[in-house]
Amino acid sequence: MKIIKIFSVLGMAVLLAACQPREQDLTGGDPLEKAYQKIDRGQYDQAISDLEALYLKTPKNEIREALASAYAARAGIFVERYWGAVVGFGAPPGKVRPSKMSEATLQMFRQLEQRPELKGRKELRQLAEVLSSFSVWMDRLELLPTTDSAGQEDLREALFLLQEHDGRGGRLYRAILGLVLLKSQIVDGYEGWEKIEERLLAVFSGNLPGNTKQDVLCVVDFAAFADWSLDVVVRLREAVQDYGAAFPSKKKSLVTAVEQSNQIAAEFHRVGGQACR
Amino acid sequence: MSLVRLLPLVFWGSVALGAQVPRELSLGRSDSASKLLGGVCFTTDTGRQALPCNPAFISRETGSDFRVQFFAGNNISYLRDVSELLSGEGDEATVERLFSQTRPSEMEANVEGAYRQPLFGIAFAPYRIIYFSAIRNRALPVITLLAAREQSLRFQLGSYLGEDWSWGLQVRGVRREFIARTFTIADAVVEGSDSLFAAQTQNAFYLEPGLLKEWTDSAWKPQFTLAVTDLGYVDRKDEAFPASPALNVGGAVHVPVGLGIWELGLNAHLHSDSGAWSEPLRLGTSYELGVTRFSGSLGASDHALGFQMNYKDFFGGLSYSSRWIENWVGANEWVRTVFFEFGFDL
Repeated sequence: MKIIKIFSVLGMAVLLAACQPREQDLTGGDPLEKAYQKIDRGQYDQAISDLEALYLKTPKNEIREALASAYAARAGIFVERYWGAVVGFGAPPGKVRPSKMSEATLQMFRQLEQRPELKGRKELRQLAEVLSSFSVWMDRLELLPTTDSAGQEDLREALFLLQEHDGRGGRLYRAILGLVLLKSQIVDGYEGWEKIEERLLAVFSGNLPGNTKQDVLCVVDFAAFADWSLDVVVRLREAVQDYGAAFPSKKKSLVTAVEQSNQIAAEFHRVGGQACR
Repeated sequence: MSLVRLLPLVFWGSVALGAQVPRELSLGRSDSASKLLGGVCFTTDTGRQALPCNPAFISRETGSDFRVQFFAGNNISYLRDVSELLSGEGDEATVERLFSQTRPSEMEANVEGAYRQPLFGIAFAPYRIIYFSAIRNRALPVITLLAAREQSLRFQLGSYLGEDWSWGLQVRGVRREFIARTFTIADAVVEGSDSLFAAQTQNAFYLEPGLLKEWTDSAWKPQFTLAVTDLGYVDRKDEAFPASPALNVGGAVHVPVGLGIWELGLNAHLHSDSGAWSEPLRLGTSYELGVTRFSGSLGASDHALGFQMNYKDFFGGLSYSSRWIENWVGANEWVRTVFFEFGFDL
């Protein structure tokens, strides 16, 4: 019968198709889903390029986030690994805390206090205290990773993209990436401070000749350090603002910390701009 | 415009929710026959369904009975993990388990009671739950979540059109409460994230006609079927549950065997998400011997196997389905699901 023949032919076609099963595409052809897939496969450059093209066509929040996450992935920052840091945020420290300086450093500052003819003693002490206060942040940020200079560039791209994000989740993501960048910069600064401390101790122990007669800040490259500290504080301020946008009820309590950080940074920059330029 | 050109427009739509939620999960049915035979259940009246998939088969009903059945699939542990994550109760192990997933997860369960008699049937499903979640993008996990609870009431009526033709019509009302969102993990923990999980409702009303042509004089008793599903109205449009009709065209034969009953069917399930030529096609078969019925079907990227057994007024069965996918990290893998069903007749 004709109908049975037709049925048999179609049945054979299905059998042939089933013998060589076609894997189901989970993306359904959606370019955003395809980009996620590329990120999960480690094809970050390709994902960034695809998402940039998509973002130019459709500058939507979800594409902005995806592109920022592709940059973050290339920098080695995967939020899934730092879930504790995402959900475990308390309010950031509201005040710069007294430092936990080494005995040798304290001794050096005691010596400095006996030398009223030296300019910049107060600023140097304040800088040391701010740097030490970052150790409080270091505890908070222990769960977050750091990244190298190339990674930091990618994070800056991601932060720039997320700047325009008006959703709370996007702002929290920006805060997290900002804190990773902040931590990376703080770590860089700590290494710098160790060198400064080493040099200062050498000068004050008489092992090295230093220009301490005129300006103690000339012993170190204070201007560069002041620029760095300003950048760190700006980063901190942005992270706090992003965090405040994600958790509006905590925003008010963060304002004081931001203002204080700003004042200190501005003061550093003022002094650093004049010191040994 | 010709009918051939018009059909794709009528049946075009999309079930897009970020990640692709399988249509058979969001708009399909949760029972053994649907899982084992897929679209082929529209071409045959096999299995102990509450009501036949194709309403035209209600005209062939010879007796009357009242039936209650329960159906569920695996993946309960995954459901618990996702709930813990979203409620903030998850620990690092929960997070590790969830984020190591390379493909979406699904779960469904259904309770249904039905009464059927010649030319008429009614079924009420007070509780059907479906669940779908997909977590991808390790850099900033994006979660697609579909959780729904449905209540549905179906009426089927049918009759003969001459000697070899039968028709049927299913009138179906569905009330859905659901959460259907795609969001990042950061969206889920910020202030005000509760709104992400606010349930929405949708009321739907469908008219689903079916047609059956039989050649009863032939030894193989071939039959041709046509059925339209999901043709109707929704009071609130949502991409998770679109008003997106599907057309089922198929045929079946009863292979003459000395012992038992063997049925072989082929169906094309055409709808908005139909892709390659082979995707809508499905070949299915069932063989009944005594109190046991074995069924199975093959599609372009999946297959299913299972059995049902009767003991007096009780029945039960297991279904096993496998789907071949390319997962998010680029590897091909089989997604295997086991479903069980049991019920009784009154």
